[in-house]
This record gives sequence, C-alpha cells and structure tokens, in this order.
Amino acid sequence: MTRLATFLLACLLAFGGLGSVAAAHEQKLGDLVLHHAWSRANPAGAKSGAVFVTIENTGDTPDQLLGASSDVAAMTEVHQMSMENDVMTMKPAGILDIPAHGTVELKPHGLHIMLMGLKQRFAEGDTFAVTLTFAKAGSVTLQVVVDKVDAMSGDH
Amino acid sequence: MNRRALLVTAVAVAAAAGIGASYVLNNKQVTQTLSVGGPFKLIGTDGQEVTESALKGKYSLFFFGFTFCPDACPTALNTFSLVLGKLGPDADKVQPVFVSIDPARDTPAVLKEYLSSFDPRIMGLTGTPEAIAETAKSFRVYYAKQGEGEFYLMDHSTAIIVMNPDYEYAGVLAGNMQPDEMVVRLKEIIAQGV
Repeated sequence: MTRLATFLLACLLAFGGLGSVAAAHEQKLGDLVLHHAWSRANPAGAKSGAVFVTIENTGDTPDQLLGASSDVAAMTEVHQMSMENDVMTMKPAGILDIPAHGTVELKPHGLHIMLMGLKQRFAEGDTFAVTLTFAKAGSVTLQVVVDKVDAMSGDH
Repeated sequence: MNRRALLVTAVAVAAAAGIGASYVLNNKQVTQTLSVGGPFKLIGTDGQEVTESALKGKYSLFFFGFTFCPDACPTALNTFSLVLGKLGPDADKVQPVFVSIDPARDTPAVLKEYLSSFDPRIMGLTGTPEAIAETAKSFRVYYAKQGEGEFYLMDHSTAIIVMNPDYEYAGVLAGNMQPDEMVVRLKEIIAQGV
C-alpha cells in the first residue's frame, strides 16, 4: 500500500513536472481558440526567433489576423517560410485569413510569428507574451511556452 | 515575376539538379566536371584566416546559413551537434562547417557567440562579401537578401555538401535530414572512401 502510494505520488510529480513546461494549453478570444503557443530555446546571441500557434475559428464568420507584437523583440511580424528545391525563403505573410469554422496552423517550416531583434535569450521552460490582433475578435495576449531548440511540434 | 528572378530560379534549379545527378551517379568524372566546392580564403571565429587546407584529412560537411535565421540554421547546427555525438570514434573523421552568407551581420565575434550553443567541433566561417560570394558560387549554393533595413532576412540553399579528405566533392545531404539518418549516410560515405 505504501509502495503503491509512493508510485502514484511519483507519477503525479513526473506528469505534473512535465505538464508545467510542455503541456498543450489553449486560450479563447470570442469565437477564436488559440491552441498551444510555443517557441524554441535559442542559441547564444540569437537575434531572431519564431512563435508557433494553431488558430481555430469556431464561429460562423471569417476573421483576419492583422498583426502581432511583443516586448521581447524590436519587431514582430507574421512570416511565411517556404522551401523551393532546397532554397529556404522567408517573407512577411501580410494579413492572414482565418476562415469560419476553419483552422490556421502556424508551425515550423511554414507560417510563424517572426521575432526580430530579440532582447532576451529563451531557455526551455521559459514563457513570454506575444499579442495577436484580429480584425473582428480584437486582441489577445498569448502565453508562449519555450520548448527545446530542435522541437518540431511543441508537444511531446 | 521579373526576368532576374526567373533567371536566379533557373540557376538554382540547375545547380540543385547538377548536385543531385552527380550524387546519384557517384562518378568521379562527373563530379569533377561539375566541380562542386573549391578553394576559399575565409575568416574563422577568432578572426584568423582559414583556407580549404584546414579541411584536408577529414570529411567536411558544408552548411551555408546565417545567425539571424530562426529555423533552418539552428536546426541544422543542432543536427550537426547530435550527429557528432552519435558518430562515436568516426566523429574524428568529420568536420562540420557553418559558412555565413550574411557577412554584414555575422562578424567572427557574432559567429563565435552563436556557435557556443552548439558542439565546439563545428567550424564557423565568415569573410568579405566577395569571398563569401565566391565560396558559395563554387559550392553551387544560392543566397539572396530578402527585405530591407536592420531586420532583413536571407533566402538560402539548405543542402549540406560533403567534401572528402582530399577536399573533393563526395555528396550532398538534405539540410533537414534527421540526425540518425545523417549518421547512417556519413558512415556509408566514409566506408566507401570516396
């Protein structure tokens, strides 16, 4: 009985510990649900970073992501990365349509919130704030969770 | 779409196809005709001059990128770090090289700080814009400035070019290759002794 209790406690601690860093989290804003905003730990002296998040529109009307801002960087923009042959290209994505009952994924090697002129270095487990502004739903401040330097999905 | 962009794209496609073809054929005559890689005179992270002679005796892995890059470059450098660890004793036969294609921002000191987050065996190189352009051209690597002002970005090829211990072209690896796969490919290349 004591051993079982110890085991259960160990499980609780283990999963509790993991959860505090990497568990998927979501935030709501009107009809929008923002799923698990995350970023990566970055190398020393890195001047840029990227934030990823899945934007779900549960409403009957389309919305638009107008822009992003953050105190952690001198400039924050929504960017699109693409690969053509083996050439990586990155440029501002402009205004992003969020269709009614649709989902837009910001993920590695695709759309992302680009942080330029980083003012701080992120380590795994850190959190920081990024504000997204939508045409209809208004603004929401995301709590961005920092994952490993080579994380690809933000969940483990 | 202007004509210059079309031309640049065509050159990039041709270069990629050329590297691919020589890799598939794995034929020395073909690779010599294509002559991927060449002599260079660049600057190391301590400000010292580095030439291709520093790479003779090892399989060198060239990746061209820039420290302002948020995605492909840290991923590739992290892969290099993991690969060196996984190669075991064969790691001594391999020299990863990160060449900046953004010398305006990537000074030796910037490069040194950035690379301190990765395996210390990775060599960082920068240089004059002319020397970088020449080196990239000889490796058939495409890059171009994207945007203006302080926070411009760079488009760039993400292929990893492998040179053998005689500093001859030995193959190309995808920049987004997983570490375990890269270890297998490198062990193959080393075993073949190309």
